Amino acid sequence: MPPGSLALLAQGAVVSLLLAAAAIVGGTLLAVLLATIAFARFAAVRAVYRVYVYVVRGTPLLVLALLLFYAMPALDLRTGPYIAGTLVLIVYTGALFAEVFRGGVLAIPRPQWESARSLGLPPLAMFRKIVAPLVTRYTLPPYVNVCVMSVKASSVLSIISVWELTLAAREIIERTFAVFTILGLAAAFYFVMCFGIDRLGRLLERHLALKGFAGERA
Amino acid sequence: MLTSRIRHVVAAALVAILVAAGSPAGAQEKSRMDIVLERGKLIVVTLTTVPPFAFNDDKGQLVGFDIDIARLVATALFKDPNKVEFVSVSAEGRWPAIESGRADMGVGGTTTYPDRAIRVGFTRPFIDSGISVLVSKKSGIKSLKDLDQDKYTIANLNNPQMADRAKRFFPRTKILTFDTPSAQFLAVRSGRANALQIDTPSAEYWAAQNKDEMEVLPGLLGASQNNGIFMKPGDFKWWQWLDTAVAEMRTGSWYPQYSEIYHKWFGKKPPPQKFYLQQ
Repeated sequence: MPPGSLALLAQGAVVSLLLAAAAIVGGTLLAVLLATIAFARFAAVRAVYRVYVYVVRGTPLLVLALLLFYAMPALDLRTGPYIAGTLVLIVYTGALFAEVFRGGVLAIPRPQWESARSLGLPPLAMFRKIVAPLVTRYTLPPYVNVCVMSVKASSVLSIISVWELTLAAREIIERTFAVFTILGLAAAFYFVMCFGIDRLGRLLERHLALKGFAGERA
Repeated sequence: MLTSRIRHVVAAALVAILVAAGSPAGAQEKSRMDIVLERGKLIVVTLTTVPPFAFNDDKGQLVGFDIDIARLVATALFKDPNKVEFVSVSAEGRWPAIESGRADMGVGGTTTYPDRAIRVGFTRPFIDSGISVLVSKKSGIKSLKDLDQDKYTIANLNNPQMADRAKRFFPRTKILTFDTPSAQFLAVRSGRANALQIDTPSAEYWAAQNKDEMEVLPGLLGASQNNGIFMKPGDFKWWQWLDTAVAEMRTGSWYPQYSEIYHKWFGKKPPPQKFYLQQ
């Protein structure tokens, strides 16, 4: 193995993980907002949701990244590649998370809605006591799935000058020509990160399991 | 336990990588020369984003000075400029394409650096080059010295030579790193970067195409350079033939064909190759 490459790859992996973390936090907040819009009373507002999800989900991440990266200076938005890259990931994961949450809301059984209404719960309390806990449990597996995807999606940012694991690997390869060793190591780093998120998700799933409720183990 | 399971998986992955990296490439390899002749076609790896060396024209055809040189090599082998197949890759994808044997040789604005030549073989140069800086006119940068300020950004390719050069000539300038020359160009055009460093013919080509927006700064970054054909090192027969072919193009029997290609892409005759040859 070329000397020093392991340290460089590890640094790149940290950057990748930070990018993914920002994407997960930002994307989740955006998605909660979007999913709320998806169930709005007015058709015009609901259409905003649909257009956003269709456009973002129907565009390759690579194209989205290039588009945002090169378009932002034209709009006089002076940001470095890291801010631009994080924004791209948030826009992308936001759409995916929103669909996950929307599915979760749709999965709430009708009697739950009816009993909540019959108790006369105000909207905010209904969201906090009924919708949020149920949706969290219903959507955890697909949610974790998108989290894992966002780690891997961050590799795309290497083409817009974001120095993360993939760009670090490509730079080392350009210098040392050790293609298989470096790409193999980079893949191992990605695997460990994704595997870790997967395990965290499982732990959380078990932690949130309720008796006689969604998420209970058979 | 969870942790021991993770440790097993990681260990297995590492073993697989080490095995893949350490396996010998076969004892007595056949020369590429024979493989190419038997196949009846030349496979060339190239970048497709370095005008005027290798790029796609408005009809989507791969064209350029280096592409024509590769076709000239095919003509020398098979008397047919079309007996060549091009494999397009990004900057760092050139080396595995050669190393793995996917391609017989490579072209594409590729500079012969001594440290590069440890791991990849080069013929003698088929064109002289240098590294110039292209700037956007809006930036107000007039000289190489102007550029060395922390308010400016320069676009690099992801190779160590570019990084070293930027550090040496512009220690204060911010750096962006891209995988293709056209991405560097786009970065300057969109305002992401104020300048880029690239082979002089490419810089001049882009400046000529964008007269209102861009210009090449006077002077080179360092010495002049050579661009050669590259191939897997250690194959004497193949290297010898390619090197001879390049020598014949630049200074011998195929000079007329070479000179014609040079004129086609650079609008002038190549510099005199031998003191007793008139232009």
